[in-house]
Amino acid sequence: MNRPLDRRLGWTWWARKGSYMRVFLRELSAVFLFVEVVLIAILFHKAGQDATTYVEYTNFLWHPLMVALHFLALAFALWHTVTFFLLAPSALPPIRVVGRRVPSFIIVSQQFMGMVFVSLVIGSWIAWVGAT
Amino acid sequence: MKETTIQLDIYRYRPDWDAPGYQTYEVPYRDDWVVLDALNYVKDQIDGSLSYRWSCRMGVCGSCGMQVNGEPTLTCATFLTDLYPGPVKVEPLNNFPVERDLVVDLTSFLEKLDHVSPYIVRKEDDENDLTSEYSQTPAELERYKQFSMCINCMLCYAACPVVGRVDEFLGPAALALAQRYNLDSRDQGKNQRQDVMFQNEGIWECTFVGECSTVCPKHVDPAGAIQQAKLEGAVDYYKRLLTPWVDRS
Repeated sequence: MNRPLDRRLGWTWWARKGSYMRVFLRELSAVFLFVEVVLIAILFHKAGQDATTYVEYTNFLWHPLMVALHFLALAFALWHTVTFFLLAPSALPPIRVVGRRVPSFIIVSQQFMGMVFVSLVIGSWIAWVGAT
Repeated sequence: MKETTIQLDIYRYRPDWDAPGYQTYEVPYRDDWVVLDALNYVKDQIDGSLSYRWSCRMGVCGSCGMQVNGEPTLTCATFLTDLYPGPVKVEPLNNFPVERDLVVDLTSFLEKLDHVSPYIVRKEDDENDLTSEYSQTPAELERYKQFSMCINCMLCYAACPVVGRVDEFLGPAALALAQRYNLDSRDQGKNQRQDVMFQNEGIWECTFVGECSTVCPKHVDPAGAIQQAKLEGAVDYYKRLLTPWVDRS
């Protein structure tokens, strides 16, 4: 007896549709964020060593290719954040306030406001530390 | 006057063929016809060998799901006016083995569905008998109602790339139905479903592509059901970790 025809997706599945590509890029962002975390961890390690080693490493981080990598990682981080925030209303059980369901845009906008607030706090703290 | 027609490029396959192919048919274009009407015309008037499934013609039975121009859709709910001037490409649902032409083998789904106990489970020591009334408030009904609208049309499986890559993944419809019964106040089978839902091939395999919810003709939102189950699962895990002495059976 002949078997039914197998039509499973190949490894290029992510290139088939825009929605697949968007998810693929969201998942891929983890690679760039991991690299940045490692670079920052090394920076802290170098900061505990002598000044020459630290300056050499910061010069390495300022190399044009490394700066391009930092911007790429930033773009991926923002992409992950935005797509994650937009998906949140669907991932949460229905939230009700005084018996009425909270609309999706409220949940999404509150996350963005939270992100802006936390960024401002951290940014202000860094600026304050840098000034003193 | 010459009748207006539209071209259908239909996927053809026979188990005794080496490879599938496409066959082109010209069918009358009528603005009140759906793709299923065009397929029925081909079957009745042009080529009786064409095989496909259909039944109710009103978006209830879920039998006539196919890929139309690459998108999984119910052919009884897809009007030719939206596809004019064509050509219209009709293929079997993605991610399922093809039995013949547009007919896919749904055995894997039926097996997965069976694993999640998609029915109300009561404990063995349940004091009520089967004829008792299990009352439910409108708020309790609202918790799961959306997830109970599934017609098993399999469009969500055809749209999900994880289903297409991981054979063992339970898939959107089965997991949404499991969550539907978990949220039902009359059900006591949550623990029974946990083991299946929370395994790697269950909810954690889902990467939240969201296409399952996009293509669902009944707005079930399987992606939402899976993410909500993930959240509940994570909370439940920490509850068990922090308070192991509490009996949750």
